[in-house]
Amino acid sequence: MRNRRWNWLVIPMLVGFATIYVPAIVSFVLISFHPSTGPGSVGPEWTLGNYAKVLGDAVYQTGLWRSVALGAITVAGSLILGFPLAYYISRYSSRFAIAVFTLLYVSSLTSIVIRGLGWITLLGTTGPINGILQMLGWIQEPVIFYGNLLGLSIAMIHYTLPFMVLTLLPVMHAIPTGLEEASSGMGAGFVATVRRVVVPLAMPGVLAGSLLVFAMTISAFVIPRLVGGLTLRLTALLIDQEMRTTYNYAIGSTLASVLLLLVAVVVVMASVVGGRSRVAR
Amino acid sequence: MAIPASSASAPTASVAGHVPAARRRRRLDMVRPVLTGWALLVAVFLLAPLIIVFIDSIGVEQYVVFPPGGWSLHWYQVIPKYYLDGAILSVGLAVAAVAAATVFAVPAGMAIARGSLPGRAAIDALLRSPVQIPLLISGVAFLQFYVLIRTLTGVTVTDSFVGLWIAHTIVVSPYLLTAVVARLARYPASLDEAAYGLGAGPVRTFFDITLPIISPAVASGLFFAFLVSFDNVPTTVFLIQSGKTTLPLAIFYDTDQDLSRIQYAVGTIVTVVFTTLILVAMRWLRLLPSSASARRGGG
Amino acid sequence: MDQGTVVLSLRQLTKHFGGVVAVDGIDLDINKGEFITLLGPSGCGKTTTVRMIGGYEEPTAGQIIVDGQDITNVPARDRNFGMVFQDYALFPHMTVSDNIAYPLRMRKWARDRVAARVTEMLDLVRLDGMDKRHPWELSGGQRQRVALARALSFSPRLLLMDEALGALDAKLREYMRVEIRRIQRLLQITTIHVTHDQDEALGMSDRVVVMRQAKIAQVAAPRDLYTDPTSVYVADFVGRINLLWGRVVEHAADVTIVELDDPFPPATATRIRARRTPDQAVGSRVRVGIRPEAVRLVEGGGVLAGVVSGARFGGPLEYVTVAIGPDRTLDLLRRPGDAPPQGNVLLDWAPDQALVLPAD
Repeated sequence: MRNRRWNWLVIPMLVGFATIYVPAIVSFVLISFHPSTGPGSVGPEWTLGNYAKVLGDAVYQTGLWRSVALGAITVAGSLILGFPLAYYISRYSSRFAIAVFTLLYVSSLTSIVIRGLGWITLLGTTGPINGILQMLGWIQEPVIFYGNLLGLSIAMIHYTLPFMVLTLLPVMHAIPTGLEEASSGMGAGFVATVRRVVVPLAMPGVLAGSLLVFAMTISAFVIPRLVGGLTLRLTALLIDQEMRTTYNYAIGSTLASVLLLLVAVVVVMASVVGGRSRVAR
Repeated sequence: MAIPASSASAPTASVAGHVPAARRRRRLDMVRPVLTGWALLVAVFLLAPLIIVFIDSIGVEQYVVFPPGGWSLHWYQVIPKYYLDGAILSVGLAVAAVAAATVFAVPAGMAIARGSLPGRAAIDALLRSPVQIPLLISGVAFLQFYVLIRTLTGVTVTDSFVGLWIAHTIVVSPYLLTAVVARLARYPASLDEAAYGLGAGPVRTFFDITLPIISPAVASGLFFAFLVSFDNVPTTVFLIQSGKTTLPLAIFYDTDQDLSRIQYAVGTIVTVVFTTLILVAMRWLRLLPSSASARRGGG
Repeated sequence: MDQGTVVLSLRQLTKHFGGVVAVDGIDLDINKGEFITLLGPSGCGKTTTVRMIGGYEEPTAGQIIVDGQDITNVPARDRNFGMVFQDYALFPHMTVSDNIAYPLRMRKWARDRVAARVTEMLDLVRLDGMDKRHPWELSGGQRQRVALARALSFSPRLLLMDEALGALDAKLREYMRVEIRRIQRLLQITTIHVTHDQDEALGMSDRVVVMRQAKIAQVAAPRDLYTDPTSVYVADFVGRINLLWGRVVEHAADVTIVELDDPFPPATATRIRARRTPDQAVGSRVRVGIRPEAVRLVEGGGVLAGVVSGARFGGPLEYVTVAIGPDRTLDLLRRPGDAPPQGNVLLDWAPDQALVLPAD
């Protein structure tokens, strides 16, 4: 039973958030509406100039589109890898399935910087991936993975895959296996059963997982910095550059506000999808 | 499979039922090996960067080439002291942040789960929102806030432990809040009522009954919060501009400047220690795997 | 048992949840040593009532008086009542003996006295040797006994049980009814039990309080409740009953004559003799209730004629359904084994078995 006498316990955290967290979020959003007056400072007058510049300038536009493109590629990749995997884990309780589940879990909690280190070597021109491809005779010249979306999206798929699978899993588990048996009992093959029964019922999970992965990818920093490099000019990297190299707080804050807005839209969409799937169940 | 003799008398059954059934059985038999193969492929993909970090850490050349020309444990012996300092700072910061987050978030979780707060949904959303906001943006936000404080009051919080502590506490507090609220949602009210009826007061009931029962969930929240704080580069990078850095940040900076096998050696040690911790936590703390899906943020 | 000494009194006890009236001004006196059951469908207010008595719910209005003392505002922990919750509410991180000892530790009993009482309670509920187990290592019935032992260990003034048998399967439930009654008689503890199961209520209690829509419908001993219900609601809730519409024609010396207003086939008497119920005025609309076991098949005469339309086997007894008019049937109870009745039959019952109930 809900009781008034518990209410006061929320006060310390609420006060902390109201005095530090909310002002912190508000402060950079406010700074985005002031002009830059040199490294590390903004003027007192109000302006929309930063937004005009960020949305109009080719460099920032490219950064934004590349971030969105990276997000889309990563979503597609982690879905292609993750959907069959989630289905496998949810339908077979073999030792191997449990081991893969544990591996996903451990992987998602392993230091992101260290995983970045691994990908630097893996994707290098003399690295193992190029080595294997050359050994198989599939390529003559090494593939360049560094500084482009190809190598970066591989590393990003690695980063986001556990989150995709862990979002899909509860939805997969909730699909009664009886439905698949019923479908095959009515003459449908495995592929038809997956296409007509499993995929439609797993759709809320697919949407939620995709939105989550998209939001994670467009705002990711460590992997893009280590594997993609500065030349990629992704929005997240541009924010870092403006804040820590050129000290243009106005533009940095504006980029951060745009990115936050984008993430917020995706998160709200995800919560709408989540709410709907609960109603359906 | 024998074809029933009667199938001739029921041609529809034979067309729609029998022949595809045989084909279906063959296909079903293929499903499991194909899926297992797929899972094996993904497992290799997941493991590859971690294994490569280890291989890179035991090569002879100072600069990372693949494959290494020979093997050596030399790089483990020459790890500079600032990595150790970084590890101490990282652990200290993570412990301090998780401790502070516990003090604030556990009571708040009780209030949200059991209280009759006006605007409960909004308060809940606000207190959970730091997980939804990318770590990078949190870094920008705290940097700008601390700069603002310095401009207005002259107090410098940037580049200080306190500044990092505050930021990390707020970033990880939702993990504890979520753990407590989720646990209390399936906590029967009758347990506490039983304790009252048997003669215990509210404080007594909390420490005798509620806390021991929810503590595994709280421990799992603590654990996540610790890992997130320890590995948080995107927020920390904005708040340390000079002086001591955390361990992941030290690796991050050095990788940017020159890539050497020392970073791979440090990376291997960290991975081994953390993987052990995670496996122990999964096995003995019976840490809820599903809470991983609550983990968010942009690394 | 010194029956007759009132130990607990509810005075106009009322509970509102928002705009919903859960308990609407009920009055009840409970005697010392009595086993009383609150019976009713879900949502009738019985659980809310027992929770208010236990101190788990604050009454909106009214009083709870124990031994002449108003305890309405006394917190649960100072009431000294034992409560068995529907889900037992055993503390999962404590052993059986720690669960039973918990109220004793709260009362700062000495260590050896606690140990002695725990042993005594385990013996009482027949769980010797289970003391070191945790609740998840016990069966449902064993958990139920631990909950009972814990609620009784500190010699409470009152034992409250909220659907305490609801989670058990039918066979165990029946066994635990006997077991609980044995312990209750042994300790002579005043007990208030809540259930929606009429068999349980009738089989265990000294008195049953039938509740309906936040109010008390009737309070009576089980036998009286079954034979003398004061409303169709109670008559129907405590057992199967045939109900016919009618109008009071006359109160004779020993019977009340009712004119049935259902359409019946011709040549059937529509005036029947029923139990004399003078408080139903002549001319008022009533329901006539006849329990299936009171209906007899006769060769000649009888009250009503009908056609057998079905039979339902039920172990030792069998329900036979007889159509007595269009869309109108009447059930009767008979032993299977005798040749099953078929075709046209004549039905009869003693006038005293036909209850005249207010039409509501």
